[in-house]
Amino acid sequence: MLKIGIISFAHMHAVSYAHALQKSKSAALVSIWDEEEKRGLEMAEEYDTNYFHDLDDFLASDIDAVIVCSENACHKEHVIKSASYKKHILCEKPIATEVEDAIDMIKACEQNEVLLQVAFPVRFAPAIQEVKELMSKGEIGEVLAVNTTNHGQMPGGWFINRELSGGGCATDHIVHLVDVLRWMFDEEVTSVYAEFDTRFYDIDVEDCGHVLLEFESGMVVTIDPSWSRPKTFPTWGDVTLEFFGEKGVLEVDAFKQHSLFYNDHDNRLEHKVWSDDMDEGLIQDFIQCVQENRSPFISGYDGLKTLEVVKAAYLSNEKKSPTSLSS
Amino acid sequence: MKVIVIGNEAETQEHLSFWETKEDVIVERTIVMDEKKIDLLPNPFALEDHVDLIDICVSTELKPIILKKLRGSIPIVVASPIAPIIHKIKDVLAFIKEQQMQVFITTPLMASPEFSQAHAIIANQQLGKSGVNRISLKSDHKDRMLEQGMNLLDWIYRTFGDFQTIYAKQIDKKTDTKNLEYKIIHIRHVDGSFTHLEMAQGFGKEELNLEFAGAKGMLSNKSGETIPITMNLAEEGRVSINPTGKSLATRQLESLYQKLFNKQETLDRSIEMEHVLYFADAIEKSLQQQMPVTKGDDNLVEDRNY
Repeated sequence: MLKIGIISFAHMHAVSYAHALQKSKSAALVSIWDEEEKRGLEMAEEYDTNYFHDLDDFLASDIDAVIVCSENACHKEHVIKSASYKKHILCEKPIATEVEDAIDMIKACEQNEVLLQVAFPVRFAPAIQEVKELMSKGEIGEVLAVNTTNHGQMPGGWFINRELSGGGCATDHIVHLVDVLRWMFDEEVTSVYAEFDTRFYDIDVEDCGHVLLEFESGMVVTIDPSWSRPKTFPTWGDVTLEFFGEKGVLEVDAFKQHSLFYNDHDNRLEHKVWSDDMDEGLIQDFIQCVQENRSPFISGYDGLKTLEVVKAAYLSNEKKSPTSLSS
Repeated sequence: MKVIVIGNEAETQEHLSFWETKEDVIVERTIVMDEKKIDLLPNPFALEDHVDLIDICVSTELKPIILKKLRGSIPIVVASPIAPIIHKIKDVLAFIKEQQMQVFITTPLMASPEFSQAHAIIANQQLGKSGVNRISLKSDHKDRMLEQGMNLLDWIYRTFGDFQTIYAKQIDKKTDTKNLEYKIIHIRHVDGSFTHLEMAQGFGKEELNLEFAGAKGMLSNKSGETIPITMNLAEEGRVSINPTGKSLATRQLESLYQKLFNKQETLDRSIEMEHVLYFADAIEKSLQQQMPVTKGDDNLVEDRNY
């Protein structure tokens, strides 16, 4: 049985990963470290596990691997430290807030011979996996353009503190779609144009914008990463891609498989997704990686390449012109 | 009020039906055009000089020809776009100005129920500060794309205001069976809001999707999800029926009629049309230069002498 610890519940995905670990037959959540002691103790109680006050003590324990879900800006410190203790690592996205940090993290993991996987769970959504299959069969021919969205509701908390998050909706959402497209088409982004603004909320980071990418093949991709879903929206957000190919159009909505819940108790309409849990797929894959000592399905390099696109988008927004990326 | 209707066979009847419902309107004459025999259009000076309005309802290709033939002082109503390509629209607008013609150019999308509703909700600030607007049009009909493209820009300008920056990308691909055209237009408006306009032609899909997100709410409408009637027939398969109620022509003419008689506002839309042409110019320039085009930059020289 693989012993896994979680570093911080700052990111809400930690809860989902903890649930997935509870369901796993080959791994167990054995300990938690969290800078916020109150939250760490609550989570330890919730998941019936141990809480460590000290990160070094936590890492010196007999855990095999860690899941890093701290604030984005803390990923570097937590990943490098975990690697120094020879722990395999699943790091929440984005891999880091700066490209140089991501490179240092990858190097540290290589030097310590530990696995570094970046959490891009969208790859594990059944609908997305099916689309990847359809694309590889050339069902819609050569893809000329893709119109994508990763909308969400504004998460608040440290997500809107630039020092901790590295940025707003662009940092939060662009990486998912760039990762999925790099994976599907096995090619890199060559040009990025983006404009961002803060229009929905009175916050210090961007909450909306548009991103236009060009891939090596000339494929044009647009991304709407906005935190534009209203409070009354029936779910947190979406991940949608519409592919325009020579032979037709393919649309995918990663969370389309849901029931509508007319919730009179809370006076709201809710989407209840019933498709396979992508977070569970991600965790299961990470566990297998460690157990089989195979290369991660989603590597630190994947995290780095997606971060490069995010940083290029911010640069484009600043310069008001497209930014080129070399592959 | 005396009206002359000049139109093709398909559209004339619809326009006549509208005018006939108005007690104070007499349709003085109806000229049904054979669009292949344009030379048979009567000399405008032979038209009754006591006519109050000429209602033109012909294909977009013929509109410039007829407008030029009808030079004169009788007010004319015609739906936008007034020509099939930007260059010709500019040409006709310049002609109208030069000849001091009174041409009322109606905006079809302002009369279209879903667009007029959205315009009203946005104009009434029900969505609050405008944030991100997404419009996607897919069609296999080239003519529809050209017309709707202009009409969408017209509606976008009237609803969200002028642009600050436009960045457009277009991909064309010729396959064995068809020509594919994908165009994406990023519009940053003067007020800072975003419009993401996508137009895809030839991909085998007929669809119009709208989403307008503001600080106080979001409005969305997907054409495929608002069709009220579907039949599944054993032999023909699935048939969708989308009854439109009053026709678009009727809605446009009703709006014009109310304005004409109530004198609610100016009917001269040439200034607005010029702004729409600036949008079109900026898109063209962005495509040519493969760069964003920003107002005030050297790369966008506004020619205000349309």
